[in-house]
Amino acid sequence: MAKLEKSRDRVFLNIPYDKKFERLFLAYIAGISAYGMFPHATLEITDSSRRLEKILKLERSCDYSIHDLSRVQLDRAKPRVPRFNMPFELGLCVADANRRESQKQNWFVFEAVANRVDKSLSDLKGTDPKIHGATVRGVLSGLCNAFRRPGRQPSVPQMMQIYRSLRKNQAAILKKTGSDTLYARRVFADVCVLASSEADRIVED
Amino acid sequence: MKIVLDSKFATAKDTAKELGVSKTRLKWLLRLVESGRPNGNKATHKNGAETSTSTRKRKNARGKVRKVAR
Repeated sequence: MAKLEKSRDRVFLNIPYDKKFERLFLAYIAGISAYGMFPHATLEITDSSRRLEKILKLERSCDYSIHDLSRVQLDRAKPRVPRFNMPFELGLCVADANRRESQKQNWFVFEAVANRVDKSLSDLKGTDPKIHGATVRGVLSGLCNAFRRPGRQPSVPQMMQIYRSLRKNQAAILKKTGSDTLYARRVFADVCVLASSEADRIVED
Repeated sequence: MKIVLDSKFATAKDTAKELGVSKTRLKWLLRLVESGRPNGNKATHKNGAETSTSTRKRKNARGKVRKVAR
């Protein structure tokens, strides 16, 4: 009997939304799409009322989650505080995954610097974070270490090809949406569709 | 630990549906990505056959034909 394929996988992307992170943001979208999965992010939540509940709901609807804890520095603008959103959402995911027995260990931690997470979030000791070194190639290679798709496994050069296409079309999408940042719901959706289209063409059986 | 995926591979249409992108916008995005792709320096004849428009390749091809004719 033929093995039944399950529906498409969803990935919850927990990343910092800042200008310096845009390249890596596109890299995550390119990489996730190269594996034929849907990226999801809290950017889709536009209504600020009951935001935490909506984040939880979105996170629960996803099969896997990726948490980038590389932004641990203090903000330049006053008040100078670090960003707690990413570790907080990671905590929510871990707690939720542990509650659901069948879906344990479906979350991945990414960091820019090796061993830094041991200090910034020592509770994660024993978890192997993927170190991307704040590079696009590092993110893509980290994703390759997290996922495997027999039959349609994307290579890092193929993912890079998708990433380059996103970078090339980024300006046109921003112009069409009238946005000046990639961190907007509509821009995010457009970039994901574009990445999917490229992935479907580039990553072949 | 590596996760082995056995789900269906998402296409642009699937992603558009998942993220609430309209059909019109999907068409625009597909056109945008198509327009940016290099066509491999190909020209299409009226009968649909494709030929390379590279000068060097054309010259090389001519040279080969002559050699064969001799």
